[in-house]
Amino acid sequence: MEHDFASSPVPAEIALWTGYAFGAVGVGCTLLLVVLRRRAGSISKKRTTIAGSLEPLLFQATENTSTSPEVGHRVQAAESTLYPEFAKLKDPFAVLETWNYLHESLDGEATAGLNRFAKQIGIPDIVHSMLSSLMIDRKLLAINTLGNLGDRDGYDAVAPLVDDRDPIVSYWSWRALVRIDVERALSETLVKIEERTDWSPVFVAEILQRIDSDVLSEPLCRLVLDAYDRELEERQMSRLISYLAFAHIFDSADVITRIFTETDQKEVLIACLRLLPDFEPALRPRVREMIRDHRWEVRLQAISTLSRFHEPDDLPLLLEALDDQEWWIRYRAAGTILDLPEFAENGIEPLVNRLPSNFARDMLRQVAAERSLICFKPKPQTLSR
Amino acid sequence: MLQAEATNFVKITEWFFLTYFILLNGTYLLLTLIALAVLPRFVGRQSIYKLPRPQSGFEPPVSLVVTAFNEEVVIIPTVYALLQLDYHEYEIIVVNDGSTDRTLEVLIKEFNLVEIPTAFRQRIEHKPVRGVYQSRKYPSLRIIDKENGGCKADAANAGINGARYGLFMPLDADTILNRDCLMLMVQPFLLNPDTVGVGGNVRILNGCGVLGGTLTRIGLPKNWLALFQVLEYSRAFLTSRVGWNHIDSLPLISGAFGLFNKEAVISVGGYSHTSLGEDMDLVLRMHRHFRLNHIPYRIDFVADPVCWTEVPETYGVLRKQRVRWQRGLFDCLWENRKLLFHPRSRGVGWLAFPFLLFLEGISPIIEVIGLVFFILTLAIGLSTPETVLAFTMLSFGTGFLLSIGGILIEELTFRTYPRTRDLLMLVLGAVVENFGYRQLNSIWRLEGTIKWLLRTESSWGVMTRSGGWTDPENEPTG
Repeated sequence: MEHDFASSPVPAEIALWTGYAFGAVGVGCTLLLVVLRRRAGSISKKRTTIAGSLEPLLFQATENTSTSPEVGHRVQAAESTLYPEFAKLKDPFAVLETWNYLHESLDGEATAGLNRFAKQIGIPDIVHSMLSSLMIDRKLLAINTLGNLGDRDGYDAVAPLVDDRDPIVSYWSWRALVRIDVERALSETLVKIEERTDWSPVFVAEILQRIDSDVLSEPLCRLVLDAYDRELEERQMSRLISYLAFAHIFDSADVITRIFTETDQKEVLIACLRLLPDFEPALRPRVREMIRDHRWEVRLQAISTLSRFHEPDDLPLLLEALDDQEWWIRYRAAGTILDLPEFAENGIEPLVNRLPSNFARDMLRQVAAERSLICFKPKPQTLSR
Repeated sequence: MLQAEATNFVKITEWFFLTYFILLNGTYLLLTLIALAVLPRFVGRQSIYKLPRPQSGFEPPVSLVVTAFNEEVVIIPTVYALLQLDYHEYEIIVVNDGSTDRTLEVLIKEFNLVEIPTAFRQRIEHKPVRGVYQSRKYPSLRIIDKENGGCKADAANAGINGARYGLFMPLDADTILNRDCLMLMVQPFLLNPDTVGVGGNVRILNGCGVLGGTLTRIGLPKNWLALFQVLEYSRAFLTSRVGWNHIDSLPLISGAFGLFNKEAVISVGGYSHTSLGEDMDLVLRMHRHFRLNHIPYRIDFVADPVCWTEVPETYGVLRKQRVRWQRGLFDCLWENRKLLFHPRSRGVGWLAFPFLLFLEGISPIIEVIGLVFFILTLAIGLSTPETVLAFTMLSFGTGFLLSIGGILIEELTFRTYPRTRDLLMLVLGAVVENFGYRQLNSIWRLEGTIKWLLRTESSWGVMTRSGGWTDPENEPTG
């Protein structure tokens, strides 16, 4: 193609051909868009059909307990027709998604019925092969399916993935292991909650709170004490201590008491204060000392801990805290004062009028007004970030 | 002699325009390619969270700070929508910034508010608070009524001072959030305790249906200006933000949708009263403060939490918005100029900042001068129609490709607009926007640049809300 670029041919040539190229790529992308949309439409249609035929069967399977033989026969008959269909599926994603969705929504006998159904139609074989998929959504779904199936065979297949570089893959793998064999998972991999600093503590808490504390307490307390003796980094240590909320209080009390009396690290102290057992009066003098700590975060948590004791003798300390330069400490102190039996019954006006400081008076009035409206009370947070 | 010199000048100028154009759009294309590589995997990873999971109750509580100035039309459905979010603990603080309409009255009536005595702590500057109201119906709803501060920053600062939780989310009064968005937005804070700010994905509400404060139908706007903005938002949020975030150099979290660590924001003095781009200024200031002082931090962007907001549908309002954005951009860059090529500023100071200043910031000047240059040289015979056509082709081809790139990423990830007709409308928009809309935008941004240079008096202007989506009887049909 010849062009007449009188002024300066080179930049104009470059501009023209780049423009053509980009335009052509743009047109190519548009065609790709249309293809993708058509493909997505047909996949979605197929998935809807499969999910539509599967859902009633899955619901029946959840009812398929030993007490309902009639339903059992119906499901068996349906499974025998579904299996060949399922085996032919190139994309079992929709089936697994529906199955997992239902599994995560249910508990107990119902999930046993779902697992039996899954085995009948060959899901375990399919998900084992999906574990090595490069597509992360498929891999994660496979991990989760094996966790829900609870088969011991699945444990060995999933275990190596706990060390995956991707925190999402490793975290979901650990979750699956705990579901398959909780005791083995705790003995072999509980240390991961210390090692994997890239796991969100909220995710870990989600798993720990589902574990029976009879099983969890001993290994968890051992892990925390061991980490403390190894002088684990402060933030990590405080995080580990937070997990003790899921252990039996009588098991964790000794661990918390020991750390609380020995440490001076801010984050660790705060984590201990949050979980300090109410039944250990010997620890209270140290809590009271901390109301005068130089770190405001420690003072704040000490007041929250003190508020659990409801001791009228703490009033002078609380009044002192009502003058603290930190707003939150004044706010918590006011709340704690209002919780004392004396003021809960008689109101606070006489006390307010006695207070010399405006700060203290304003705060008490505010908290009293909020309480009168059944205002929100910030819940104490158990986990450290 | 003169003719030769003029030809030489034209030749050099053409080379300059070409180089500039390649640098600017090359960067956009690079960001698009990064997003294409990164985003589908991110969405794949997030897919597992679609399974039902009970919230553990240990997620950090969040304060939602809604700034409202004369928002009586939209404030009630907005608050109702916020009350329906799926998150275990959050509070809503509406800051009535001295509204002259009935914003406060409608709030008091609808939510049964009562004024409570408050020990208000003022850690960052703002105009005086006139009163604090608490809802009798919804304990987590409070209203801070304050004197008008003349800017959104002033109201947001009051909200931050009044916020009770460690994380806060500043919101506009016309914002609709997806119900799961808080759960998604807190994830970076949970994974990395050094996170100080997280931006989310903003989409356009025009053309969608909303009932009782909840999005009921997703659709494209019929108005062409709004449609072009759908494409712009798609390019900005799914390509640029994702790209910059991938190289840890995110320069902006939209003022309409972000989640911040309150203490981190207070440590840099809160929102600036003087900047017209207070959202970008805050992010750049945090980069400057933390990076230059060796304090570990992370500013993140997550693409899946979505908020919906209304955009201008008239030339007048859009022009004012774009002029303000351009002035805001230069305000921010000037205020944070220390970041530019600072040895410790890394990607922000060495990549994002120079891009914003030397390429994006001055692009309207170059583009408008380019337009005038080619018309003039063509008129006096120093350029040929073929040359002008070549540069026009370059401009069109690149613009089209960038917009299609944004749509493609959208299709590969979220597929927000499920109807094929909508997809085709977007493609059509990607073609049509090159003929007039982009040039208009350049002219408006040039106006903003000139106004910034001349330091003419700045004002916030008023975003006229149609509020059409707030009325169930008047659902737009898209």
